[in-house]
Amino acid sequence: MNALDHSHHVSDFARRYAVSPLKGLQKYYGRDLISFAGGLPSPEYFPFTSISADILPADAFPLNAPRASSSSSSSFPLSWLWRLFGSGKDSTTHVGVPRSPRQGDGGLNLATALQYGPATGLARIQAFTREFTERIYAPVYNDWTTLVHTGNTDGWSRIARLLLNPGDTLLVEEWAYPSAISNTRPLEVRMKSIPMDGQGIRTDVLRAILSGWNAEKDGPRPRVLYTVPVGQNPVGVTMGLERKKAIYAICVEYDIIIAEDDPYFFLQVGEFVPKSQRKLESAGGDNDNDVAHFISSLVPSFLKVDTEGRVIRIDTFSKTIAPGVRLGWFTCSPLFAERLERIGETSTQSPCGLGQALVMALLEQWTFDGYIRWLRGLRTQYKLRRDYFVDCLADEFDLIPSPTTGDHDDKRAVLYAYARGTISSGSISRARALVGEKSQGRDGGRSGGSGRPLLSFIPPTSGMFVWVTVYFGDIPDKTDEEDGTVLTPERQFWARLADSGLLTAPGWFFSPEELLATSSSSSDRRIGHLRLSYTPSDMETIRRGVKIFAQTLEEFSRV
Amino acid sequence: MLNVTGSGANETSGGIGVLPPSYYEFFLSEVAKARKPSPIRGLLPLEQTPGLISLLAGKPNAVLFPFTSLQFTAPDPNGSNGEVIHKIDDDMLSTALQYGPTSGIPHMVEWLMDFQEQEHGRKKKGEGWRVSVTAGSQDGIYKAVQALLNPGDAVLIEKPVYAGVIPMFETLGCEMIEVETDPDGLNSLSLHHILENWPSSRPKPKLLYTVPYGCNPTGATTTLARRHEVLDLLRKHDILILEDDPYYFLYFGTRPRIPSYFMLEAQTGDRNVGRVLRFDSFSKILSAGIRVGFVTGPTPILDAMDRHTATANLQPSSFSQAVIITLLRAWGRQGFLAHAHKVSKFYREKRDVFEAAMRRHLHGLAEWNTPEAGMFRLLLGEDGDSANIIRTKAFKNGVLALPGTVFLPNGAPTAYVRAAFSLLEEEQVDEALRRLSVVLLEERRSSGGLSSRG
Ligand SMILES: Cc1ncc(COP(=O)(O)O)c(C=O)c1O
Ligand SMILES: Cc1ncc(COP(=O)(O)O)c(C=O)c1O
Repeated sequence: MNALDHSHHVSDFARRYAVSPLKGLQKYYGRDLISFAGGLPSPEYFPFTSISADILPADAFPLNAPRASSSSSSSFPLSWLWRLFGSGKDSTTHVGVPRSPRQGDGGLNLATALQYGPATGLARIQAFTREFTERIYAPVYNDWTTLVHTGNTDGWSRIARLLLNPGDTLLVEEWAYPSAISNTRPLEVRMKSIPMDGQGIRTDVLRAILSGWNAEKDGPRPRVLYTVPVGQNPVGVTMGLERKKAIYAICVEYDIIIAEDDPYFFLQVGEFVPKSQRKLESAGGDNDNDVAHFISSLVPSFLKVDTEGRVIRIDTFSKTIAPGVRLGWFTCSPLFAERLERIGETSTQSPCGLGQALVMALLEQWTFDGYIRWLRGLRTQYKLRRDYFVDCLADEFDLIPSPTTGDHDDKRAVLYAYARGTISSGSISRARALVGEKSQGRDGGRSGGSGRPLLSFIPPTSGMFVWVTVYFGDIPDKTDEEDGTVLTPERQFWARLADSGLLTAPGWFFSPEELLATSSSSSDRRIGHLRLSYTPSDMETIRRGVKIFAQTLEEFSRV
Repeated sequence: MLNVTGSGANETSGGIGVLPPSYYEFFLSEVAKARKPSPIRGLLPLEQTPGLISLLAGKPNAVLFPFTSLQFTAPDPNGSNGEVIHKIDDDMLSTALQYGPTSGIPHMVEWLMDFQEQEHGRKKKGEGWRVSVTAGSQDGIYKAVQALLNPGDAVLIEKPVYAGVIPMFETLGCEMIEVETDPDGLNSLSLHHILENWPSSRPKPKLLYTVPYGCNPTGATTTLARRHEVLDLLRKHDILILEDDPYYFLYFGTRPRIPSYFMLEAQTGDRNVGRVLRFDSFSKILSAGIRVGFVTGPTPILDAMDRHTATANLQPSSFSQAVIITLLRAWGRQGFLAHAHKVSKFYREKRDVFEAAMRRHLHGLAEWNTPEAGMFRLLLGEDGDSANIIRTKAFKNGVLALPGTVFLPNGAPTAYVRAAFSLLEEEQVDEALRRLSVVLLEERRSSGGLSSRG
């Protein structure tokens, strides 16, 4: 079965693109034809005569996290990682991009990579994205297709232009990736944010919003949902298959297109296990080289439930190979792909040819299974980092678990953090009573010292971020002396952290309402948020960062 | 209409006035004004603070990148035949693989600023301009258009115009006002006529889009006298100029190089600078597939474009930039210019071969002017429809050129075709033009519709 006809979702803007007059000529090529038509520069004088790289072997990173030893928690993973990186460097392979085209090389040669190419990318990359999507995400309708883009930012930006008309309302998560929100701003699009629980978008609220939609008051009913279902940026939560099915069903009912922005899909590291209970384990419990087994250990993509072609999925190499190459791809129906290609042609065109060629040379050297092996190794690395970061927090605070509230299928625990020694480990129920839901947090009063939690978070099961909710109690707003802006406790704390030498991302960066300045945050000022990214730094830096964080928070809460 | 020419400009030493940032408020589009700086990208520079620990951005850890070294070879531009190995150093390698600043990696931006300063005689400091790297000129022009035009605005373009920009104006719902061109380039008289007769009830166009060297598709290079006249007119009417100059380095004429608009605005008239937004491209001289170009111009406009980039594609490829800047630093400005000179010499030879073949085969059948950059444009008769001839007859006879109609916003029929000669060998050129002459002769015989002037 093929994708349904979703042409009614194409925006007025995207409809205006004619087939690019120059690109349309490509079909004339071939046979004994001499062409003056193309206007391509002569590659003869492109000065790059060879390009090559050393690459790590696909199995550079082990599948097993090292055994938690009794030695100091800060030293073992650190030394282990460095050793590992060193050893990987020893056994690199040299890959290059051949200079001249050969029969059947799928464009994997310098002559092609250096020249203007179609917005569909090198043939070889096209074939790879197709095979990869087929094997990993297994789309269910027949005529799905893939198309390269220059990273998921470009991908979403093109999707927004493809689908949204001025006055439309976009469905987004309660907290969202700021670029994705700002992107739609000039399109005069409104936002409707949907509350999240430990698995992301709450289906009950989503349904309520749509069924209660008042077109007269609120404009056209939303047609587009933007979601980051795995390792959600910034909250870090991951949507399970059942949740995806439930959301998809609602989207079918209300005819909504789902934009699935999924850069963290392969960073699904599993539940957090406290250090004391951690055993020697492999990342996803898979030790054999079975690709199928690896795939089955990952929460499936929306593509897996998309029977109608209403999902536009965007993948990126940014988190799995390197963001600097700016390369990724769409998976969607041919109708959407054709318009997305047109939109791309007038702006970023095709991704960098050299980058495409080198990434492809790398993937060919590794082979498909090798790349899967690489991804599994990466997963272990991210798991280690996640564990290490939460361990560091556990060293600085007393962490007490409590189940989340929210949808029934969510069993993830929230960890409440108290200043060390301020609470007995038996006081879980009291802790809940004190903070529990947001509304109760309002009465939370002063934190610190008095046995109240300083912050809470759900240890992420995917991605790169820990999203902490900070309880500020009665700390009053301040006014900036220079420009008169109101400084909420969250902003004050963020600035205090920065002054103490720790840079973090404050919650308001991720609030669709604040970003669009549609409301001057009516949210509860006694509760603030911070997104902590634990991947770019080395272990020692992370430990120092968490120390600064804990100290600053305790001081800040004591005022 | 806001008019701050003269009095509003800030004087710098050397008699040059710089249009103040407030000047651009009128020009920036509603969309550009609505864009806010990307909060996280805005903080990234802070990460460079010594001793600061950052948990800010979702950057992957560099130890997890699979590339551990990167190198390429390139011929020595200064004559010798040798190939030189360029190794991308370790710092540059991590830069190449990681997220980088929206406006381009700092080494690259710095190099390009120096280059522009020398090439166009414009001071880096105090003249109100800077450089942003783009994912090719196409990307830069697209963002400039988004930053400057509102739906329904009028924009001045050349007739015929580079086809790649038509969809930008079309999708934005802009009215394209066509300025005539001739072998001397943009026709300033036509521009004068349009502007002097502009109805007072309508807002004037905010900008002119022009390709001053080897205009695509006409091949014409706008003369110095014309450039002066155009600049004067634009000053008088307060209009910005988008100088799209991908063929600048490919100028293969024998006369001295004509200064760019970016250069001229600092030397002529009231010498108030800040009206030129200049686009350079590496596509024709280093690589088209590498997708890197750069835009030079007033900081407020570049800031608006960067804000667009930050949400639309984050940044141009760090990887491409690292490769290019490694080469440029090794070559230096002189090496780069020597390379560009070699490339333009190559095109000159190609042009001569092509033109000789045209004289052999098309004498009396077609008209053309000799380009000093870019490509040829041929006139096949006076009022024929070249699209028809090309798409059917020429194609059947095994030769293809680009019908001129694609360079007209309304797609009107025209007797022009564009002929690019960069990729063909001498025998192919000869054969192709022979085939074309057969088609044209037949055409003339059957319709009598083609002029016989040569
Ligand atoms: C949700 C989300 N989308 C997109 C991106 C950017 O991805 P890319 O580098 O592919 O543009 C990120 C990276 O931080 C992200 O978190
Ligand atoms: C006039 C003109 N502008 C812009 C471009 C596109 O340049 P880039 O490859 O840098 O995007 C071209 C390419 O042919 C061109 O002829």
